[in-house]
Amino acid sequence: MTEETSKTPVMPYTEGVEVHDKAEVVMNNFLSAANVEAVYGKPVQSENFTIIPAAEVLSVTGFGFGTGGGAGPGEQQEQNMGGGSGGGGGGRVLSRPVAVVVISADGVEIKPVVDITKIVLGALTAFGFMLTMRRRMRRGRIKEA
Amino acid sequence: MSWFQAGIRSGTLIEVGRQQVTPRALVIAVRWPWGGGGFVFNQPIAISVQTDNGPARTRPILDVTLLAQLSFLWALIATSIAISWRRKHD
Repeated sequence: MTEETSKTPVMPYTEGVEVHDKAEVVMNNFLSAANVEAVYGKPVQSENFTIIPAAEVLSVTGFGFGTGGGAGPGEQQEQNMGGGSGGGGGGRVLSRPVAVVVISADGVEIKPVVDITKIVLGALTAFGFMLTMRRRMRRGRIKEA
Repeated sequence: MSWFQAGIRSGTLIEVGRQQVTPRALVIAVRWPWGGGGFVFNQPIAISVQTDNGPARTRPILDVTLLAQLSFLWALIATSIAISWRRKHD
């Protein structure tokens, strides 16, 4: 290495490519983490039964990055060069139990996991929406009459 | 990896006594077309059960909660369409 090369400013574009490559690796790892093994849990042995939990898994990720650079005014532009880059990202994994597979000597049984709270909330929302629509329709008819 | 992938994947074979169980899951993977992220959706759909003597049987896994929520959604959409149609024709 000579002194000249060590003084040369690092081009922001190169930094950006490195950041992008790292982000790609992280994202690929994140996406490959969600597979069939994540959906079905490890079998649990209990007396004469073997239980396998099954869950719905949703993993979401997002990231972004940016680079910038420039040279200052004047004759010594090469010495006043500068640049920078930055990035950020995030992700989330959502999991919801769907069913339980029970294996015994008699056979295999699938028992669904029912989330009553979600179903009731959905029913109430639908019912409320329908009721509001019906009321609006009736009001419209009365005004027309 | 392309921007969209969907398919049914089989998991590792699980042996319990004389029964061999193969879990299957629906996998939908999407990478945002503009880059910088994506999502993977995994849903258990069935298990394949193989015994020593008999043929392999596929047992579906029903997501009761999701089915109920979707039926409510369809009921909402159907009601909205019916009401708007009735308004136009009255």
